[in-house]
Amino acid sequence: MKKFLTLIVIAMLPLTATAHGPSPQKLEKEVVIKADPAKVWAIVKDFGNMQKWHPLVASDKLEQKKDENGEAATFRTLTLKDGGTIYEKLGTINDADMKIKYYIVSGVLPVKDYNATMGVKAGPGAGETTVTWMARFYRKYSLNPPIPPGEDDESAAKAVTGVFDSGLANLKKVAEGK
Amino acid sequence: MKLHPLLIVALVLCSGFATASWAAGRAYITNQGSNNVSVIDTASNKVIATIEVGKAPVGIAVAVRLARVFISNVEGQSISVIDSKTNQVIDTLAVKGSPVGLALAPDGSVLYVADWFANQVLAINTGNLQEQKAITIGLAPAGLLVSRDGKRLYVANRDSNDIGVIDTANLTVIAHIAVGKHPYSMALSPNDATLYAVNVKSNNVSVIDTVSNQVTNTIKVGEHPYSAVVSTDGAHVYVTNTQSDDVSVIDATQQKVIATIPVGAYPEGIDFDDATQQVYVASWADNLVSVIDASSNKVTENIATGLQSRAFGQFILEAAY
Repeated sequence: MKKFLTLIVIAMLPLTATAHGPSPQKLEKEVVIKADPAKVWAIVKDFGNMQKWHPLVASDKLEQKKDENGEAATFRTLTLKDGGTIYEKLGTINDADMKIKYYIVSGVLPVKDYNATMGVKAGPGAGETTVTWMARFYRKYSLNPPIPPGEDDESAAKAVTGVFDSGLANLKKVAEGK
Repeated sequence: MKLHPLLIVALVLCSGFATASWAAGRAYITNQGSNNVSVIDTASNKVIATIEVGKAPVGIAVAVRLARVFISNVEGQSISVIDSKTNQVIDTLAVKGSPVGLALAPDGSVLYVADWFANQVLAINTGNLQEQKAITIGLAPAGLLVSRDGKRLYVANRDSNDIGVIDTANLTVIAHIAVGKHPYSMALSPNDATLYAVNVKSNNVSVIDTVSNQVTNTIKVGEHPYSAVVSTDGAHVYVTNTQSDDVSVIDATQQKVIATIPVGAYPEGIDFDDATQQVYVASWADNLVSVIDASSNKVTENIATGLQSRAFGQFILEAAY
């Protein structure tokens, strides 16, 4: 939590950003876990229980409702330990490939059009599992420069990096039963 | 006429060189993350050159007659001009705005540039890059497409949810066609009669009659579709779905999806190679190009490119004849 608060503070600082255009950013992080892939996948795919493994998340509330195109969809509200919330939509859960996709609808992260994939695969060593977390997102501010402080590319990348690093480190602990 | 032996040698060398250098088509793939362009030979499906360009390249337009390839560097705020014979950047044009989509007049005389932030399209004389005209259009213009007869320029206005139609003779906007949510790019049938607009946020494709400028049908595709291309014979439309990591194949007559092909993650740009009947799909998340055999609708190869491949626009330079 302290780490996350620090991130928010950093995100609020006025940064001298160069002119950025409408380019999506990519962030990809990996962790190797000493546990069975099926066990890790069961934790990762559990869309309604992120608080069980992510240290910044206090609670996770699932909801079934229609999306903006009128189709049935699954949403969750993550309430963070610092009080902020993130509202997300489930894309797909693919058990064969052990991949889950989801999107941020709204929330405290300074990002826009955020979508992410978490993938689980066996290896590299025997008894090991690799989890890959990949996100594609734009900075929060999508209009003409000048960009308001905290809404630029760097702020977006820092916030997502904080979520990924703390989450993967703790996922490893939880899955390894430590 | 009797030729000097040396002249004969020279002629043989020249013709040999010309054949060897131009046997197949070339796919020019912009790599946003590595600020370069991968050039793929569509006969061998090998990367034969990598060209450094500006920051965050996205859009592409190819001009066979000029032997030129134009690249939009959205964050570098410039256009790189590549000589396709040497695969070298021969000119870089600074653009004040944020260039995204590119398209060329069929004869290569005019380059059209979508300026995302300024809500305008630039028309640039390719013979004199300083000669430019600006046309005010909808919000956040992304993809551009010129009809094969050269008379119309279509603009996908992402944030105003419409397609702008420009008469290229006098550069006036003659229609705005309301489509789905966030149209990003378009494809045209070979006879220019049908325009397909890809709507990112409504997960569908609007089918437009280009005579009446009316939407005649809407076809549901995969998640977050981005780009489309029509086969040489006009029978099929291929659409990249960025968030379902696949390509929808639409039967143009039945106007429905007949196949869904898994490709590299986050597929963006797509183009059809007339010579080899292969479909090339740039994968942003996996840093590669998936090649689909149009006869089997199967991926036959994944070609490693640069970081975050986008290849937005018509990126295949067909073999010169």
